[in-house]
Amino acid sequence: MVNGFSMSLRATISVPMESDSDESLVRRARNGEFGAFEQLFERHRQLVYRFAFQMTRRRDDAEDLVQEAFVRAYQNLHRYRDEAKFTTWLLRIVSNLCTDQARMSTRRNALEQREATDSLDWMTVGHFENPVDNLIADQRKAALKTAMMALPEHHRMMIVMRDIEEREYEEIAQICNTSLGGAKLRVLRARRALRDRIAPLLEEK
Amino acid sequence: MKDDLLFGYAFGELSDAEIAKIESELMLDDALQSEANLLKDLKSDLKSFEEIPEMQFSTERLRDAILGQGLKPKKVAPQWLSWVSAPMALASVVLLAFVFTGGVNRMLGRQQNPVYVSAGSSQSATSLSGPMVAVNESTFSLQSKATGSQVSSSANQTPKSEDEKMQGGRKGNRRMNPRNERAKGLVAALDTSSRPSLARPASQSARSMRNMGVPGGVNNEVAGNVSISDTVPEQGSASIISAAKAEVAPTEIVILNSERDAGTGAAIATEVKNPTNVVIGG
Repeated sequence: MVNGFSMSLRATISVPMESDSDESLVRRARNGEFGAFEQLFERHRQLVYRFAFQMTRRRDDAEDLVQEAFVRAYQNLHRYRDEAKFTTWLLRIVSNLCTDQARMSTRRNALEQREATDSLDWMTVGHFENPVDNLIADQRKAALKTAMMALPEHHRMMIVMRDIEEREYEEIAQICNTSLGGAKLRVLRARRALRDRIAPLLEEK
Repeated sequence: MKDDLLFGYAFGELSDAEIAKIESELMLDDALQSEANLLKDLKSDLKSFEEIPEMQFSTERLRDAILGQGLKPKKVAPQWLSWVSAPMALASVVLLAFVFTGGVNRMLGRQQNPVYVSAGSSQSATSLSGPMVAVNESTFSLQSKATGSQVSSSANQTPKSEDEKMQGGRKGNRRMNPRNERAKGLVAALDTSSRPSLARPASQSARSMRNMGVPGGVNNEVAGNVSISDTVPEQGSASIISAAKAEVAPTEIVILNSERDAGTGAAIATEVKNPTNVVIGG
């Protein structure tokens, strides 16, 4: 009796500590506890949203991607292996979704983005004292945005992960399911592609 | 300078030693310097992308979305099963094909390939281990001049000209029309007493046909690709009955009488050792 009480006490104490980890929440969600999955969602939804927004530059599309990513994550929880971080696995789902979406609506997004960029140029607020510097900075940012959206989706993903989200190469390699050297090479190629696209735009401005 | 070093310098991914080395090179090359400045601006501008609008996605919306597709996580078969299922499916297809194409018969040693039987072979050479020819008794008959007994074959489906040629008794190694031979089968129906079985060795059938005056040999596909060579040497015509008697082993016949045994109530039976003395249907 005493032994059983001590065991249950130990279990009671250990549960809150273990429930903090993503892995334990995943286990509970796998067993049908939807509240555990809601905790995972609350914990990581901003991360997923940031990545999705950087990829799409549209809030509606980004929120749709967040929804689809978490639905897919819930439906495929049994596929998740503990050797990778849950966030890595989640970002892999989002990146696959972004790829799918880019394939479906490349042209539509490019056209809409160009319209949106052009229409919002006048709303840009500068950070410099000199209005000319503000104008140049704004033009550079607009060119960068245009160049980013003109990038192929796989290059844009590398720029977002490394240069905007500032993720480590190791994590990028895990998300992209490649080696460390492969991840570095992909980032370098993406940067080259971005430079090649933005240079003519800046000269034009 | 390699541009990967320049990118590394602009994006702050190099060690101090590498940075010092590159900066010394940049001092000497204005084009390289402007390129480096462009990349540095690119890096700093990308930082401005960090600002994003606030998300308005609620937990309730997620719950509705998941409920809309079913609350339970999808459970699929274990991964190893998917690896095993493909070879299993392939193996089952191969097995089915093996069974339906007669592979079992080949494995068990049942020969289905064409067999060429020498007409000159002795009775012992054409032993019972050879393939059997199924006898179809529903087809043609032709009259043997020597014995007067009836011989059945597929005359019903044989064109008349072919039949006439056969009856004309022309000798020689002439191949019969396979289309005619593919019909229902060869029948060597002798007299009723020489029909103990509906199946006989191919060699016996060959000999029977030759003895019946069929010119040359027969290339046949009756009962599973049994062929009889058309290079069979000619022999003198022999009696069909004598051939049948020589080739077919006598079979015991049990005659059931209409009278019944008083003790058991069963019909009285009589065993006959030599069936040639029994008239069936008489």
